[in-house]
This record gives sequence, structure tokens and C-alpha cells, in this order.
Amino acid sequence: MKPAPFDYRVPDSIEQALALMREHGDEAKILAGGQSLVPAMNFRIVQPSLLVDINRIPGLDHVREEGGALRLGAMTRERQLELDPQVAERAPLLAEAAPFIAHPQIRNRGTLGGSLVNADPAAELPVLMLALEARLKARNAAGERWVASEAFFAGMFTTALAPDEILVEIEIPFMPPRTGWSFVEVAPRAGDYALMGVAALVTLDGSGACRRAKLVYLNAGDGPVDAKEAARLLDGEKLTNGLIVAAAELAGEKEITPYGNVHTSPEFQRHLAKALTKKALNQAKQRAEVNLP
Amino acid sequence: MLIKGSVMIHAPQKKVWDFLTDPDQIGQCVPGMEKIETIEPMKKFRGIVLVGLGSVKARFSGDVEIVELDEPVRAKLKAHGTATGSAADVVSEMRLSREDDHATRVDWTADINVSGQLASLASRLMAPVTQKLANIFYDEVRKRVETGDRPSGK
Amino acid sequence: MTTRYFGERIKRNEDPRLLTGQGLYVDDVDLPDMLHAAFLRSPYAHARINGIDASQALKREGVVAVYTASDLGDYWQPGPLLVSPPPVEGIVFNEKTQVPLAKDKVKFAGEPIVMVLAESRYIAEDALADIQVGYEPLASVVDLELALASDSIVIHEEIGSNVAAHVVQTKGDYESAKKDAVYVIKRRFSYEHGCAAAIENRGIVAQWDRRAGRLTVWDTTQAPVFIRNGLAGMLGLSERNVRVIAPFIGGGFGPKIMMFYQEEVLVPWAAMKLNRPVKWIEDRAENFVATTHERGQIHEAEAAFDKDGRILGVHDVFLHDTGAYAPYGLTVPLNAQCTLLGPYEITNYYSQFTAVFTNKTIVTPYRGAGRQHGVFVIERMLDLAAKELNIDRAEIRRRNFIQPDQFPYNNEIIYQDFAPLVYDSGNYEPLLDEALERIGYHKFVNETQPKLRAEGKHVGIGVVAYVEGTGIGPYEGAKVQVMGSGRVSVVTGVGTQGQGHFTSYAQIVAEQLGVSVDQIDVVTGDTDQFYWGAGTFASRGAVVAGNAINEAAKVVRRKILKLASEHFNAPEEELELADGLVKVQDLPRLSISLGELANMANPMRGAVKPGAEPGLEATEYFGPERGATASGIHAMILEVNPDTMQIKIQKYLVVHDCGKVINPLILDGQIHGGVAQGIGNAFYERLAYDENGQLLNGTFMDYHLPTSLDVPRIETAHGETLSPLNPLGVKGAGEAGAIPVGPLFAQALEDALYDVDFEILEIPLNSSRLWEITRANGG
Repeated sequence: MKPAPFDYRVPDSIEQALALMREHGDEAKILAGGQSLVPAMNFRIVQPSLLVDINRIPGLDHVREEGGALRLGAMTRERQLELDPQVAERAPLLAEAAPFIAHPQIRNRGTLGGSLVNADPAAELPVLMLALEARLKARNAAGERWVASEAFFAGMFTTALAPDEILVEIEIPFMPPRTGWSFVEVAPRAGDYALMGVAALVTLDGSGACRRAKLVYLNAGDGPVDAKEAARLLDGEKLTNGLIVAAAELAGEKEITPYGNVHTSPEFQRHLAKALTKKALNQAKQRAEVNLP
Repeated sequence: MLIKGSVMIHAPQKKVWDFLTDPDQIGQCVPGMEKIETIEPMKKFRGIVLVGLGSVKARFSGDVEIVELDEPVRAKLKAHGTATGSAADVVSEMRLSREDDHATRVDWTADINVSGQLASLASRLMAPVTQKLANIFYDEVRKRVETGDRPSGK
Repeated sequence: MTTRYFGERIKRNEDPRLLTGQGLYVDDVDLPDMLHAAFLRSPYAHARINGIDASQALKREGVVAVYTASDLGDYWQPGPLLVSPPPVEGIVFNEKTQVPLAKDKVKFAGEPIVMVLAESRYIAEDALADIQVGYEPLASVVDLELALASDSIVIHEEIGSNVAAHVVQTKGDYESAKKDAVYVIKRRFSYEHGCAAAIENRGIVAQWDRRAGRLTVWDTTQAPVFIRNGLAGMLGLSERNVRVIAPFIGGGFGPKIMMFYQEEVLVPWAAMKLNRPVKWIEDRAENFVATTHERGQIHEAEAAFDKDGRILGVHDVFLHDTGAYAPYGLTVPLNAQCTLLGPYEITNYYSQFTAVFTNKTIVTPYRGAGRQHGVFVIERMLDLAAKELNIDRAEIRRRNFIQPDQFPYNNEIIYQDFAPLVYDSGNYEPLLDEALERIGYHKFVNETQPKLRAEGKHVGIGVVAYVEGTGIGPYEGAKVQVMGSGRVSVVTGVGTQGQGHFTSYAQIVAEQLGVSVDQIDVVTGDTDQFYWGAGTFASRGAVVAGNAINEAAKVVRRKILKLASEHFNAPEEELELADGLVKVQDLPRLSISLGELANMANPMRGAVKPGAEPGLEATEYFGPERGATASGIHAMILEVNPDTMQIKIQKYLVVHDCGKVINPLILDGQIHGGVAQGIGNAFYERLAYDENGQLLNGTFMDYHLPTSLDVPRIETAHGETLSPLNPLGVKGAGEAGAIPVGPLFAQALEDALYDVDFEILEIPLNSSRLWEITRANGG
């Protein structure tokens, strides 16, 4: 379990890093937290010829508010998502879900951007970005562009990033008023890849009916799975128990495509998706009601 | 692990057949194909392919052999490749059926066996990744046959 | 004799060294000019090898040598059969042991084919990618039943089938006993054990001193003496010219017994051939496939009961997966066969097993060593019978216990040590009573549980019993010596892998010599320090080596008393040994230190009397007539979330009898570690093989060991029936914690999910599997 030979560069600025990526493209890999990349290199299933370590570039790990949104540097550690009061206030779903990401030691090193670029369908952060309708800023040597999360995740371990691009920043709109949230998952042991998990957001109108809902699942397909049909079922309706059950059934049976693995059958994943959806919607609804005038 | 699928290609059966049995043509459609050479025409080929998604990739080198050929309806091939610490063996069959003069249906199966470190490490990804790669391949075949693209030589 | 040392909760002598990083492990051995080995392993479980091209690897800078099977010449030999077949009538035994490097055919994924030696491990691994092997894949033998089908592909063609062994053992007459039964239960059970997953993988460093003609080997082995003897024979060296050191080892658990692993025989050979030190450290990916597993058995079992739930007889036919080779003989299936009988009076027993070769990693003992499999079968059948006959689960066990006056109790079959399976001693009912009392069984069942169920909670209780044959022969030896400084040296041949030997052995000596434990230096696992011995396995360290040490210490005590008696001109009866001194009773100022006495026993002038030996030293050996039988009860309260099938263990209790306890603190640690592994076995760990013999979860990401969050606090209590088979009265405890956890989970889970009608007939489980079982049975 030793990596294949590779070159290693530690640029001081994003410009230097981008220049390296322009020069080396596909053969280079960005080293952020290294929590997936380094083990994969040790197993030799990833063999970059160049590792570009961006840990010493200043200004990539900020947490700030700008234009009604939370701006997070791509190098923000997962541990900070868990502990930062601004994140807790403006994106409580993110703060609540962060402790489910692997183990504290991994969260101390692992980064927001690293996890998003890795695009593991079993990971929490891509699901959360989709649920929170985040935008992601990519840069290359020529300039920058914003990509909606929905367009960013292009399937298993695949993103919209070009080989010469680096993900630098994530923008998450503030949580709207009268909105409740919930993140629940079932993992074999704490810190494992979850067998199933769901992020739920529910916004209620003045009458207490659902104005807008969002249900996004992990380990349920090629990437984060947005159960739009189930969410639409809730639109404009009072969230009765019956309706919640119906949404859970719809999402669990029709919208997710779990593959199963050595720990679970796809049928159990569907069963869990339904059970977790009910739990998440009920919790999100209760939290939204607390915000009602 | 058996995966399968079917694809409707809007082209006559002969054209689809010719394309699918031309190693240079299909070489252009295989995701990650780096090199393909003919050892024995219509029989045996040798190639290198970088298999994977995102940054998780393994470079397999190996042989492809056409073991059954029933023009223009059926082809069966066997592939065997090795990568560092791993090996892959594939038996794949394609059946072409005429839908009408301008459309051909391709039903395919692939029995894929991955051995060694990749099997141990990436079992949770194996089914979805191989299915996805196969879909990419046939999608590319469909596009190229339908638009009549020649290999771009990239 | 005072009791200040033996039986006390004394903190471990070795821990300050270990906790401050001072312990020597194999990977710490770093020698000048050392080469590093890496092995090319087969990705296939079964394939012919049609040629190997290693020429490119040899050209790589930093590569020193590349060896295939054909380069080994006469050194290429199958490994030794470590345990010969038992003397059972009608036995079939087809001997097949592993080869150093696969030659014409690979028989399991992970089997080494090529050894590369390079200036660094990095370069050696780079070179593996340069090697081309022409594989011709063959169908793999994976499923035990399909392996025995007449049309199955055969792994070892010269045998003609995949049968490794076939053994029948009987006691009484099951078929006639069955005629009196009011209830006969018949089920198919499957039980799989996992891999040991020791925190330290295997490792070996070999150094050849050409001028001295001496080979030194640092090896993570549990049995250094066997390895020394074996390597000497293979390499054509005198045993006196081979030194094997088993330093601190991060966990043994069985797979590190003297396996003569491929790497273990190749690294010393390469060191001699190249005249340079060679190191190989197994990485975790290798460990999952190259270090032995335990894995599975399928039992078709039947038990006959009378109306009171008494067992009239048991009939069991099972298949045992032995993997591609079987170097350790039949220890695992024999343990399963014998331990099934448990603490119960079973007068009629028919047991038949077939050990089956498969294209999987080799199976050898791992903590419990097949005992789990047998205990699962009998305990499950008792639970099913209790339900059917409407008898309380604890009560049906009580009714079947062997009674205290029945010992020694002869089970009339042969055990793993080839001695008759005779339980030396035991008293099971008090253990059960204590367990029921401590877990609050009756209150829980009658009051707490109905209340919880009314609240919609799913909380279950389990109580299971088991015995463990421990402390088997042949023998161990020890040398105890008082040094001139007054410190005492204890040397024994067994290796140590975390058991606390440096403390428990010191306590035995401290007790005899009146020296505090921290004044005693224990050396284990160095064949130059102690020549003879067997090794650390089968829960035998305390029993066999412990008693040898005790015997040696007794002789030294006698020598001390004799010399001091002459010195003080006082009768021996008036002397006492305490605080490192010999004192004359009632004359507190008249004393001499052991160090001074030791120097007096090795005089500079004058003469040692004829027949006397210099120094205060003795070497003694101990070999028990047969194993001592430990026993115990495990009980647990567990909650299940029926939506997600996640579990939470609320309480876990072990009441255990291993005879005289040397150090309760160390014993608790042994029990805790065993239970943790048992919990892993029951609900987390599973070696997931596909139909091609590929291990699909060869990483800790996917092979789930229980973590500190999954293992609860474990309460322990101890009964004490002394073993009459050794002077200390001790029994082994190494495997006790791990053995009955599977059936305990099964029982508690069935009890928790009371509103579903289902039976658990398999281990391991996980949430998904539990959900499927409950659904399949109409849940």
C-alpha cells in the first residue's frame, strides 16, 4: 500500500495552482484534505503524476455572509461546518448534518470542496448542497464561473469541473423564514458510509401549509438524488401524516435507485428511505412550525 | 456480475453491424480507450484502457477475442485484462435486430468479473460503474452511427 | 505463604514501556543495508499460470532480485502439516499445505506468485506492476455444498474431490434415544467467523550472519520455537544457529501461530541467498487475503428432548470451509464438534463433519477456533426447544447442566489435543444463578419488559452458557533465576501478543519468592533465551507456561531457603521470604537480600559442593495430562429499533469460571477483548465473498469491526472451581469472551422483536440481514 511515484508542488497562490492545472490538466490532482485521495493513491487506484497541494494558499477557507447568502471557501474543513455559529444560524441543516460525516479526525482534515469534487454518491455534502440549492464557483487560469449544484454533480465521482478548473467557493442562500430542516441517516457504525440518508427542508406558508419542500437522498443512485415528485406532492398541502407517508412511499419506491452493497440489499435501502423520510419530514415540519408567526 | 441493456439506433442493421465489428470504430466509443491494435482481423485485438470514473481509475491492458460471429445479428466476445493487483474478465454478447429499414435494436449483455484489489476495494461501486460505462459506450455508438462520424483520431 | 501478589489486581508491568513507545515491534527492526520485500499476489481465486515475465521488474532501478517458484529449486516444498489428523477410526484426511510461491496454479486470491526484493518497499511495489503473469482463469470453488457436488471443479486434482477430511465421532446411540423423545428439533444453521484483524499485521525481518553462520529472525509469531525448528530444518542449519525472536506483537488471536506462511519461509531464505537483511511488513490489504481466516460451517442438526426439556441426544452433520489449504489440520472443526456438547449432559451424540477445500484464504484457528460454531448450534436448539416446550430459557439450561458430582465428566470423544474430551471440573448452576441475579433476569422478564413493550419499545434479554477446553499440552518450560542485583529473571518459550504475561508470570514468581512484581523481568519469545516450548494458543499461556514458571520458582525457593538456612544457621521453617529478603522469623534484624544470596551461590573462591549447582536458578517443565475446562454464562439486554434494525446493547454481563485467577484486572481485559470480537462476529464483521472467490470487503471501510461506540461496558464476575490437572488450579481464559456471543445475540434479538415470528439460524447478522430474516418469516 505505497503510492506510485508522483511529483508534489505546493503553490502559494491560487494563480500558481491554476497555472499548474492548466499545464498538467488530467494528470494532476488537487490535494485538499486528502481523506479520500491519499488512501486511493496508496491503493494505486488513483495515480496522478502531480499532486498540487493547495493547503497553503491563503483565503480559501473563509466563512462569511455576502448578499443574503453564506459564502464558504472550498478549503473550509468539515469540522468547521459542524462548529461554526454562522453556519449554524444561516444553514442549520449543514451544521446538523456535518457530524454525520465520517469521524472527527477525518472532519478535521477533510474539506467541503474536496468532498464535493469527489462526488461520492454516499457522501453527505453533495446531498446537502443540492438540498440547500448551493452554487459552486469554479476557477481556471482564464477566469471563473458559477455552477448550480444541480448541474455540478454529473453522476458517480463525476462533476462539471473541467480538468484545469479548481473549485474555490460555495454559496448557500440563507435559510428562508418558516423553514424547518432535518438530516437523518442510518449507518452500520457511527462514521461509516450510510446505508441510506435524507436531507429534508420544509417551508410553510402563513396558514401552515407547505409552500415548498425538498428531499434529497444519499447512497440512492449515481449521485445525490433529489426526489422532486415526492416534494411536489407536498406543495400547497397541509403536512398530514397520510401525506407524509405518501411522499415517503413515492420517494422510496419510485425516485431513488439504490444499488445495494455488501452491507445492505437495495430493498432494505428503500425500506430505510421510507422510514427516514417520515422521520425527517415530521422533524422539519415541527421546526418550521416553531418559526410560524 | 451480469449487466445488460438495449439501445435503439436509428440506422440500418448492416451499418450498425459494420460499425460494431470495426475495432477502430468501437475503440473510439470505449470510455478511456488509450490504444487498440489488431492481432488477427475480426478475431483478436489488444488494447489498453483506462477504466474508471472521476479520479478512481485503473489502467488495464489485455486482449479481446471475438469468439462467435453470426453476421449481422450476433457477436460474442471475450476480454481479459490485468491492472496492478487486479484483473478483469468480460464475456459480452450483442444481438442486433431490425426494427425497420432505418432502425436497429441492439440488446447486449456483459458478464463482468473483476478480481483482486479492485474487487476488494470498490465492490460498492462495481455494479453502478460498469453499468454506467456500458451505457456511455452504447450511447456513443448510437451517436456515431447515427451521425456517421468517422473516428476523430483523438 | 502470603497472598500479596497472586490473585491481585496488579497493573501491568509492560504498559509503561508500551504506552511510551518503547516496545520493540518487528517493524521497528531497522538494519543497515536492509532490503524490502513485496509480493505479487494472484487477483484470481483459481487460475492456471501459463508463464511469468519478470524481466521488466528486474530492470527497474533499485530492484535487487525477483523470485518465482522456479527460482526456489529444492526449497520449493509444501509447508509442514502443523497438526496431524486425530486418531479417530475411519477418518479421511487429505493433506494439503500451502506452497511458498504458486507454481502452475493459484488456488486463492491473494496467493503469492512472485517475490520482489528492492532497496525500498516503494520500489518493490512499483516493480510488481512490471511483472506479467499469464493467467488462465478457472471456475472457482466457493460454496461448500457445490464444492462436494460430483460435477464440481476440483482444486487439488490429485485428491480427486474437494474433500479435505471426513470425521465421525459418536457417543451412545442417538437413533434409539430419539425414540423416547416428545420433541425433536431439526434445523439448518450457518455460522461464519471472520478474520482476526489484529492491530499489527504480520511482519518478518531476517538477518544472515555469514561469518558466524547464524540466522536471526524477528517474526510476529505466536510460536517462535516451532518456527526456529522448522526454519532450521528447511534451510539446512543447526537449530542452535537459528534465533527466532517474537518481540512485542500487536495481537495474535490464532492466525500468528506457527503457520510457516509463505512470506515466513521466503524472507529468511532470501536474506541468506542475498546475504543482506530482508524486511517484509504485511499491509492491511494483504492481511485481508493472505493471513488466515476462520469463516464458516453449515450444520444440519437435530436434537431430541423429553417433555421436561432434557436433551436425549444430538445428531449433527456439518460442512467446514478450510480454504485452499489446511496446514492446521482439523483443529477448528474438531473444536466445533466437541464444544457443541457444552456444559450439558448429552449422553447420545452423533457428529459427522466434512472439511471442504475452497478457493478462499486458508482457514486456521482464530480466537474461539470453531467453538463458536458448535456453541451456536446447541444454544439455538435449546432456545427453540424452550419455546416449543414452554420452558424458561434459563431453566432449560439448568435442567441439562452436568452436575458438580459428575466430574471428571467423560464425553467419550476425542478433543483437539487428541486426548479424550473429559471435563476436569466445573459447577455451572452457581454461575447461572449469579448471572440471572446480576442481570436482573426475573424482574426484567416479569416487570420491566412488559412495561417497555407497552410503551412500544423492543428490548430483549438473552442468557447463554458454554464451556471452553483450554490449556492443552504438550508442555512449556521456564527458567527462573535470581540475579546478583536481587532482581529475578523469568524466561519462557511462549510468545506474547498483549496478554499481560510480563505481569501475570511475574505474579506467580513473586508469590513464591517474596519479591515485588516490579522486581521481576519476564522474557518471552526469544529462542536464544529459552530453547524449548510450544507457543501461545488454545488459551494455554497461563495454564501451561504459568505452571512451568511456578514449578521453577518453587525450586528456586527451595534453593534460597537451603542456602539461607546454612548462612543463618537456622532451620528452614524459621525463614520467610518477603520484600526481596530472607528473614529469620522473630529476628527482624537478621536478614539477607536475595541478591546477596545469589552471589553467595556463585562464589569466587572455595568450591561448590559436589551435586550442587551454582546460582539460584532452576529450569522446569510442565505438561498437563489434558486440557482444563473453563465455563461461563453470558447475558445481555439489547434494544432494537424495528424501523432501522439498529441495535443498542444496554447491558452485558459475563460470569466466568477459569479456576484460580492470577490477576483479575488482566482477566477482565481478556474477557472484554473477547466480547468485543464476539460482538463483531455477531453483528458487524462478515467476510463477503462473491461467486468467483473474490473478497469484496478487504478494507476496514467495508469490513466492519465494532468500535468503542458499539461495545458496551462489560460487567464481569467469577466463579472458581480449581482445575485438578495443574498445581495452580488455573484454567485458560483467552477465548472465553468471544465464544457464545452469536447465540446470545440471536436469543436477545428474537426476544426484542417479540411481535414478529422468526428464527435466527445464522451468524453474522447486520441490520439489513435482520430485516430480511424478519420479513421472510412473515414480519
